[in-house]
Amino acid sequence: MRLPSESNQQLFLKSLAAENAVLHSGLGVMLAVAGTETAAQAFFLGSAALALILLNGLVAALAGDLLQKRAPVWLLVMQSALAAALIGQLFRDRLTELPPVTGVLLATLAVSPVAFARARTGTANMTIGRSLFDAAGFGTGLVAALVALGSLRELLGRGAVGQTRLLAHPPAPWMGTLLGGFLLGALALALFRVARARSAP
Amino acid sequence: MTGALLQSLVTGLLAGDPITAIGLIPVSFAAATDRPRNAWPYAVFGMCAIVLFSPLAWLLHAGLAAARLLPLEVPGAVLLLWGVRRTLALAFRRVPALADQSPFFFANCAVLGTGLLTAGRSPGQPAAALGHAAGAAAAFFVATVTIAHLRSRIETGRAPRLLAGWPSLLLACAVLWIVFQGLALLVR
Repeated sequence: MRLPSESNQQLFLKSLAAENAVLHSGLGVMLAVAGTETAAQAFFLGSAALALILLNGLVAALAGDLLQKRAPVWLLVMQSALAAALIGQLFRDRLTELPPVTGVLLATLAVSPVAFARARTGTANMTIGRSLFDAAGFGTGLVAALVALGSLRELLGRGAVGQTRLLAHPPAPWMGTLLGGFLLGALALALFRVARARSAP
Repeated sequence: MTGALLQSLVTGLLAGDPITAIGLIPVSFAAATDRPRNAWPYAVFGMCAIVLFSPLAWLLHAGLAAARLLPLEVPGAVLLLWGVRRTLALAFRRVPALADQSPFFFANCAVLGTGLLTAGRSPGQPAAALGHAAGAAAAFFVATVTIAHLRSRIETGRAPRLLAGWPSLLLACAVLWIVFQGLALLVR
């Protein structure tokens, strides 16, 4: 929940950690499970999601600011689909270097609530500046969570993160499969709940 | 033709489920599987949506590829998904339990992802695409109902409360992933 008394920095930090897209609301669970086979894949999909979140936040704030109306969901989904198609075209070569389902995951981002839910629920009655801070915090939190999960899965599953080999033998090769995504996702969500419960007054 | 259809049907059944095989978990899936009773209508609507959408996505892919307009596939598929959802909502209008599922499929990554994968994996093979779509739809139905039952066991058992919700859903998916992998090994 966003309060009018909160500064832009407070909005950013709240969206970044306390209301994290993966760990708090579960909106980014699909990406956390399917899009974190490697750190590079996680970063690519997280960055694409960040771009869509910023675009939708901007359009929702413009609609609220100029037209005094909430941007309809179909508009947000359709522009997300066009933006996802554009990203796919711009990074066509990069996509071939990433795990095979990355292109499909990029396409499904268009219909994922992680891309438009924030714009739909919160930013319609905010100024453009506040909306962008909110969207940037939300998107950056998503990228950070995905990259952390992706790096851990890659380290445990391959013994390396990117081109850097850190372990001589991968301790858990199954982490590279979807099973690793399910189990690590469940563990991360449960640990986040424990941390929140302990930090609650 | 029959052989290709059968082979793609089995492949779709064992390796085409969007939830456990690819990890395309829609946000609505968590609410739909929180009780086994809620899961049935969601599973039936989703199965019908996959069966209807995937062959149409295959046709769209083939048409756009022929016209050299493949970059427009994602927006086109999103529009197609809306059409499929509206058609199913109309078809199920006399069955409220199923018609009520329509909003969950307004923008559903499981259905969209399965359609795009079917179109991309079997270009020029309509029978294979049809078989894969049917297999994936059946697998989606089985996965949804089974996950709902597994979740209810996890959440009503001695598991700590912090596992309720998304963590229990992901643990149930993990169990089912192992089952599907085992079955796939047996078939191979």
